[in-house]
Formats: sequence, structure tokens, C-alpha cells
Amino acid sequence: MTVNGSRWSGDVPARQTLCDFLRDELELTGTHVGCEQGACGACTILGDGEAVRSCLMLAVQADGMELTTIEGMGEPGNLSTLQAAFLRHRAFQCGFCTPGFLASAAEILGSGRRYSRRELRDMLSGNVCRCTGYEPIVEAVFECQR
Amino acid sequence: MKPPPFEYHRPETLDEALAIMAEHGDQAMPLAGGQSLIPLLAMRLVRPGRIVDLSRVGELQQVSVAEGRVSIGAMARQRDIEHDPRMPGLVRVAVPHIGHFQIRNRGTVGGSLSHMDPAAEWPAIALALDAVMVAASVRGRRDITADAFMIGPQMTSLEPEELLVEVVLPMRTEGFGFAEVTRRGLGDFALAGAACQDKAVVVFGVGLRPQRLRVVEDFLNRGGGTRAEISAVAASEIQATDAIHTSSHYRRVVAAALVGAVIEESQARGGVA
Amino acid sequence: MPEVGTDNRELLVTGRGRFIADIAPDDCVDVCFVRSPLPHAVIRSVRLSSSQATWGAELGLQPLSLEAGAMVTTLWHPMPTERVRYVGEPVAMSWGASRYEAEDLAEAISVDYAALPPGTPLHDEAPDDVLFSRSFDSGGVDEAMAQAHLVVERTFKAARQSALPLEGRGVVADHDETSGVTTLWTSTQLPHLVRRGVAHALGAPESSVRVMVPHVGGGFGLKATLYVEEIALAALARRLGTPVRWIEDRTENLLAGTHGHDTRVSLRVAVGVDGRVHAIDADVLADVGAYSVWPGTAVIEPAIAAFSLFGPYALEAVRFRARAAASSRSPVGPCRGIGHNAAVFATERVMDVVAAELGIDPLEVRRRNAVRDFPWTSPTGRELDSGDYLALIRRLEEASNYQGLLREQAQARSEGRLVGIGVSLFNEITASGSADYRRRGVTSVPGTDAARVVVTAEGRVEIYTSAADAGQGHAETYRTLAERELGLRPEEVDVIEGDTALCPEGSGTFISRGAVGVMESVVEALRKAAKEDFEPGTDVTHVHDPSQVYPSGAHLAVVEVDPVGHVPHVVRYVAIEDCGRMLDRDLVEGQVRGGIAMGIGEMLLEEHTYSEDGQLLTSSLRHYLPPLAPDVPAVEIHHLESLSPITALGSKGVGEAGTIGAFGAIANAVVDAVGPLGAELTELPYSPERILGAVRGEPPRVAS
Repeated sequence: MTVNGSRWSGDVPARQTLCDFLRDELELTGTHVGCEQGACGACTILGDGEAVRSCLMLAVQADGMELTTIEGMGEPGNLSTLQAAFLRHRAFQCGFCTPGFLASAAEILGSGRRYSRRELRDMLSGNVCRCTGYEPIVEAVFECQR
Repeated sequence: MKPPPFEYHRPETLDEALAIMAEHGDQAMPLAGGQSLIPLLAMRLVRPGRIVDLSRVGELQQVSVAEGRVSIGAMARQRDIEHDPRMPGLVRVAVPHIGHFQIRNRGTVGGSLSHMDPAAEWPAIALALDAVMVAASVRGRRDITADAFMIGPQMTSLEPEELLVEVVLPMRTEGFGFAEVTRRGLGDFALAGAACQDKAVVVFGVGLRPQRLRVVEDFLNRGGGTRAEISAVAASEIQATDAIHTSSHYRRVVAAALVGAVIEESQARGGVA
Repeated sequence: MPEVGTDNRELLVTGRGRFIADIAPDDCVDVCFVRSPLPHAVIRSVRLSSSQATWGAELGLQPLSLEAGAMVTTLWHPMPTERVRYVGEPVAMSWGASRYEAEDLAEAISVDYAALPPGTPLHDEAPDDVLFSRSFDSGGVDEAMAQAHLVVERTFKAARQSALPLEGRGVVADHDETSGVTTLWTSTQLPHLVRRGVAHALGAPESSVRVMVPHVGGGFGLKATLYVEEIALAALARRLGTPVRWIEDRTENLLAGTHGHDTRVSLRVAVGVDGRVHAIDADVLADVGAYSVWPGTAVIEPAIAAFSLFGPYALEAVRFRARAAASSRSPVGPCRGIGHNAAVFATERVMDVVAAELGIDPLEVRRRNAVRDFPWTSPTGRELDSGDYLALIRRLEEASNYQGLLREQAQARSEGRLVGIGVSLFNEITASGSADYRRRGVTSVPGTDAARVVVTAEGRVEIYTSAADAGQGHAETYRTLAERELGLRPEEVDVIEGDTALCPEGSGTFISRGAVGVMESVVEALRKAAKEDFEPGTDVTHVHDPSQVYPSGAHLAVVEVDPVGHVPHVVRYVAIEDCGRMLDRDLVEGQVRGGIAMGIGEMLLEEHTYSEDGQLLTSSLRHYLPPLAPDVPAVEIHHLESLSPITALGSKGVGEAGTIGAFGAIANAVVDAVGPLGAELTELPYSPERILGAVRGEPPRVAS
């Protein structure tokens, strides 16, 4: 598989979930585990450009896929447009949900469609944020549609 | 919350998959999109000795249209179905309600039907459209009616060595209606739902499996009535059970109201009801 | 987490933060707990079946006695060996090279239980299951009731809920034989208290425990108690001599993290013909779960609820009885707005009932009852330091275009829509100091907050505090403070929190004390350092013992209930906040907005439900429902800044206000929406099920 542009190959335990593989094996701990049942969205990453729950996949299912985690979206001093918007709008407080929101938003923005704020709220309803009340997140994504 | 150990198989062809299922029967579980199975594994609510990953079986991903019928391979993803213009109208309006888009990116039609969550959309769609479920095993294929397929929560009439390989739906682009009530927007689990295709009426998320409302259908066949009258007939027919946050009373009353709404919607869409 | 040089927020937005699950020392083993499957049972025997497992009898942990004055003296048993008291209580633990292996080993542990019959008292010391009882009577209540034009009598019930930080708890422990120090990384709001409690339970000196707090993925009160798992991990690290780690999963979090609220408030209220409320007679009963957790959680919810009733209103007489009852459920701990939520819910519903009974507008009835002169001493002895409640109401009326809203509502109703408008006026108590804790008999919580300012040889300013950040933005606030108060450049200020070896002792982060006690100690320490011109070598500490202050607010919500599913939707929300002086408006608004979102969730969605045989039915996020983006509207926030005369900067704290205000505004808006159908709702959350039930069991009207 390819993770953030780097090839990786090797054996994984069959039962290991993709999020645990990313965190424990590749030490990409920016992918956060919030519920392990696909409900909270914290572990969302991009798989072949689509937002997927890394807790709802076995690592072995990602064989041959191209994955992007938050570590591949930007870095301190070199933020992506979306990350910069999250920072500017204060679209996070504790930061635990942020990687998942960024992955979901990346697919939404990648569609090239312009959504209204109301539509964005629906589109973003697959991720839980317990801190911000969502408004700054919606605003940050809305702004990046331009 | 971590899966127990299991043997992992990833067959490349359907025959290979069926051979594994035949050999290991009760011990093996097919893995489709995994959006329901992986949490069940993580909570150790199921502990199959073997997991048969169907993601590489190309035959199961085909979608074809012929003679007024649509055949959907069991491994077709919700995401692809959602954006496929060849789908029946009921499918097009119902599929966006399945989970959130991240779930639809991985979840499959066959996975959803085989998982048989009573609040899920696909079993209701299949029942309303009189879908034919095609099951396969090394012994051959058989057709199962949607009604005979679904038994109860996480229970279908598939034999242990069988796989659901295909769902066949009539190509109907009018006369359908679909509505569900959720607490938290489009992607949330339905508190109650209703679907109809012409005079076939189904409620879901109210009991142990989706229910065809034959009495309501008879009522419609005899000429029907006002929306309120239809809802009243539905309310007396719906078999609802209590859930954690909703009583059987709530589910019955709300589903009955939705039945009236979806029939009106189907009539507005040129239905024959 | 220390914040040296860089802004941590850039780390967080790029996935470079370090949360508890990201800490994995070499050779570390992962731990899994075996938890009680029964609500109340005797442990007959435990068979471990592996050398990588242990339980309480082997760990030899001491039960901790609870100390709060008015409380029945019970014991808190970490890893009990004789009896379990709630489903999810940790009984044994296993460990392996991964959590996967630890879970495999946990399955091999067998515990033989003998279930105790329902109704068996949970604690021998409390045969009636009452862990805390307190009565208060100012005098004059009976007279006021006798003379009242109207006596309103109602009972309200706030649900059992979870604070549900998105990150669960977690502990990593490592024992160093050479120094004898056990280092405990834990996702907590209370570094110093955890250190004290763990040492206490281990029977070890406090100096042998060092607590460090990494990035914390939200707390909201759930991480503001000492936990069994913290004690157990420390004990295991000492035994094994290798690092051990336990990362809570969501099921454990919902099952065994502290719950919140679960409080019933029964009220009799004496009202004059003009709508003035003269006296209240209240009975507050909180179900606090299986234990009062060290150092005494059982007191907090019922006591704060009772004292907060009719908080912003000028009552003349008050009588209450407040009790905490034990039950075989998860212990109840702090949860954003603790006690206030149930009180504001009951109070604000009653104010609307008074308004309706007497034909007075809801805003007007609040205006007539609001405290006008500050400082003001309530019949219960609360000293409201500052505020301008009439201005809050006036601002709310203007900002919401209240009269216009009423017209829109009338129009919507004429179209058959179920639209409701709800308002609330509230205040809250923040920042309890040492005197308050000692009065309640609590000696373990210092009640103080502390900051130390050190100027390094190269001239950088280091701020150490006793608090721990969980996303509130402490470092940013202190840097702003250092810049604005003393002209320091933010980039030369380093902030170090969450390390008991480096930071001065203090209470931690709870009861919205950050903007009061902690900030005050930072300001004073900086001022002391300024007197030394921030010369290299300057090293000053300031310990502040705060007095309680009372931020306030007025909220308005518009809710529409769909006539088929009876699902309530919040369509508009206006909040007027007065938290005194704001140091950083963005951070304040972030707290308010997030607090309101949590309030909306707790009012409309979130609810723990137990089966008749004591099993928690809501132990996953399929059934425990936090609000999602479509459930929370854009919140319109306006500010008043009535400065507190008793804090250094005039600030009053803001962490919980949003949630507290929502309990009144949302409650009233939903009831107003279905009011024309004759509905009254007294039990939270206002779920579709309850709303439908409230409209007298009639089938939903079918809109045509």
C-alpha cells in the first residue's frame, strides 16, 4: 500500500484494524480512535481519495490502496488551505476530532461542488465534535469552497 | 474492543469463495464492506474462526440492466449505487439515507441485506420492490424472495455455506415513496420508516424486521381512502416492538403516519395506488 | 502538556499532538480490565488462568475513606475483592504485548459472582442508600405559601448522561526502581489531586508519584475525578517494573466513566399576584450511582442543584432538602454545569408556568423577579458579586427581535406548525475556594490555584500553573494576559502545565475556575515578576484562594417540532453572556458555543438507560447520541461585561455557562412548541418519544 506517498509492504495480523496498524505499526498517531464502531468519525482517513473509517477496515483490506492520513495533509509551518482555515476559524479546541473532520472535508471539497452552509452541516454529520458546537468547522469548510 | 483471532481468506473468484464457505460452513463469515461486521468483531459479539473477504471477487461487483430488471452484485458499494442513474427510483431516494457518506464509501448492498438490521434501508427497499435475492453455494444457485430472505435482526434464510451474490429489482422509475424519521439528520438510524412501490407498502425500523402491510395494500386495492384513513389502517396492522429510546406505541404511530405520506408521494409520482 | 516556543494548535491541526494513546514507551504492555457484568454481587472467587493477569486481592489496594462533612462515611473500593456495585466496575486486569492480546487473556479470567437481590443496600454504612443529606430553612416559607396568590407545584427530572469527551480516558504508568518514583501519564483535569489520591491508595508518599498530563481530548468533568484505573495502573507498574498502559475504549467510557446529573427536583413555589416569586420549598434527590468517588463526589450534584435553584431571582425565603442516593449504576461525577443544569431546568420551567398562569410575558416575569442590586445576599447565603440581569433581559429582547419572533410564531402556528420560543435567565457559581471546601469537610481538594513565573537565564518567561488544559486554550490565554497586562511578547513566554513535578500544587481544571482562580494566580505571579523587571533568575509563585463569583446569562431558543415524528429541531439560538471581563473573546465564544451544543444534546438527545436487570443499554454510540452538526444552529452570541469586584481582572469564568443556559431555554422552547396541544414535559431528554407521549398519547396530526 501507499501511505502519504510512501510505499509500505509487509505482513500484518489479520485481525488488526487499519487505524491500529497506522498508529502502532507506522506510528502515524494523528489518526485518532474515538469509538471503534464508525459512529464518531475521529479515525476517518482518505482511502483512494475517499473518506473512510479506518476503524471499520482491517489493515489487510487496505492492501493495494493509496491512503492519506492527517500527517500527509500538511505540517506545522506548511499547512494545507483547509488546515489554515481550521486554525483561523478556531474550528477545534481539544483537537481530537480534527483529523477526521479534515479527511471528511477533503472529500467534500474534492467534489468541486459548492454546498450551502445547511448542506455542509448534513455532509459533516458523520463526524462528532464535542467542543466547538460545529459552527466554526462549517465556516472553515464553507470558506475553502471558494 | 479488538477483534478476536481468525483465519483470513481473500478469494479472487466466486467459485473459490464458495469452496471456502462449503469447507468451513458455520465457522466462516463473509466480509463485504465491513461497516457492520467489523464493530461486531471488535465487540467480540461474533467470533468466526474464518473471515472470507469478498472484496477481490470481481463477479460480485457487477451491476446490469436487462428486460426491465436491474441486477446488483452483492459487493456493489452504496456509493456507486447512489450515483447510478440506472437504479429504480425507490433505490435512488432511499440510498442517501444509509449511514453517512463515509460509510457508503465502503458499505455494500449485499452486506447490508445480509446483516439485516431492522432499521436499515436495503431490507425495506427489497421488500417493497419484491426483490429476488440470489444465493449461491457450491451446490448451485437459488432465488429467495425478499420476504423469505429476512427473518429477524441479523438473521436471514441463507444457509451457512451460502453467499448472497445478487439482488434483482424491477426497474420502476415512478410510483414510489420513501420517508424515515431520524433524530440527527439524514445519516442517523431511522426511528421509523416507510417505503412503497405502487401498492406494495413496507414499514421498517418498527419491529424485528421490515413488515409488508398486506391489509393496507388490500385497502388500496379496494380503492383506498384519505391519507388519514390509510394511516389508521396502517396503525392497526403494524407490529411494533419496544426499542431503547422509543416505545412500540411511538413506532407504530409514527410509521403509520409515514405510510400515509409515502403513498401520497407515490401517487404524486405517477403511482397506480 | 507544556507549550514551549511553538503554538500547540499548529501541532493539533496537523496530527502532531500527543494524546494519551500516542504514548507508548518501549517494552510497554497493554492492559485490559475485566469488569463486573452484574449490578450488585458478591465476588466468590477469581481464576486468573494466566501469569499476565491480576486482581485486587493481589494488588492490595487500600479502600479510600470519604471525608465530606455532611456525607455518610462510606468507603470507595478501587478493584474490590468482596463485592461489585455496578456493571462495568473493574475487578481484574490482564496485559499483553498489544491490547488484542490483553483482551484474549481477559477472556480467560473467570470470576464467580453471587448476585445480590435488588434492594440490597450498597454500603453497610448506609442502610437506606442515602450517602448525603442536607436540609436548609431560611424561615418564612410556610407563611409565604399561605399568603401566596398562586402555589406552583412541579417535579422535574434531569437525565443520567455522559460528558462524553471524544477522547476517552487513558493511563500510562512507569515505575523507576532507582528513584522510587512512579510516573503516571493520565488524561485528567486534576493532576495534583490524582497524584494525592493514587499515593493515598498505594499507601505510598506523594513524592513517589509524578503525574503528567498529555494533550487531553476533552474533559467536561468526566476527567475530573480520581479513577480506579489510575490507581490500578500505578500499582501494576510498581509490580511489573515495566511500563504499562491502558487506553479506554468507548464502551468502557460509557459504562465506567463517571456519569452526570440524574437528579430529580420537586418544587413548591409561592407566587404573588404580580408574578413575583416569594419563596420556594424544594426536594432535590440525586442518584449518584454506586459510590461517592474520592474525595466525595456524591455531595456535588445535589448540593449545587439545591443552592442554585432560582439563582438569579430575588427570593425571600428558601427551604430545601438535598439528598444523594446510591444505586448500582456508574458513579456520578462532575459533568459540565453540574447541579446547575437540573436547577436551571426546574427553575426556568416554573418561571414559564408562572408566566402562563398569570398571563404575563415570560421575559417580563423574569424582569420582575431578577436581582437588581449587587452585591446581593440570597436567603441561602450566596453572595452575588456582580451582574446586571435587567440588562441581560433587555439585550436578549433586542438581539432576538423578540416581538418580531412572537409575530412569526403566531403566523407559523396558524399554518399548523409546532414552533416554540423559550428563554432562560441564569447565573452560576464558579471557582470554589478553600473555605468552601473546608466548610463542606473536604480537606483533599486544596481549593486554591497557583502559578509560578520563572525567568530563565536567556530571558524567556516560563509560566507554570496548577491547571491542566483540555482544549480551552490556557497557553494562549496566559500569553495574551502576559502581553496585555505586562507588555511581554507572546513568543517569549512558555507555558508549562500538567506536570506535578514542575508545576505548583493546586486544584486543577473544573468548576470553571480557569478564568478566575488560575488566571488570577497567573496575573499576580506575573505582576510579582514585573516588580523584579523580569530579570533572569526571577522565580515567583502566587497561590490564589478564590472566592465564588457568579457569571450570568440570558438565552433564547426557537425550536420547531416536526408534526409526524415529533423530533425537535433547534432553529435559532441567541445567547447573551456576562462572564465579566473577557480576556479573549474568541475563546470565550468557543466555550459558549460548545457549551450550548452540549446543552442541546443533553436536553434533546442524550440519555443513559438501564434495563430492569441493571444492564446499561446505551453503552455504544449507536444508542448514546451526542449532537451532530445539523442539530446545532449557528449561535448568535452577545456580551455584557459587568466586572467582578472581587477578581483581579474582573473575570468570572465561562466554561459551563452555555450548557447551563440551554437547559432553560431549550426546555421552554420545546414545551412552548407543543403547548397548544396541551403538553407538559417534565423529564429529560425531550425525546420524540416523550414529546409524542406528552401530547396526550394522541396520534400525530397528519399535515396535509
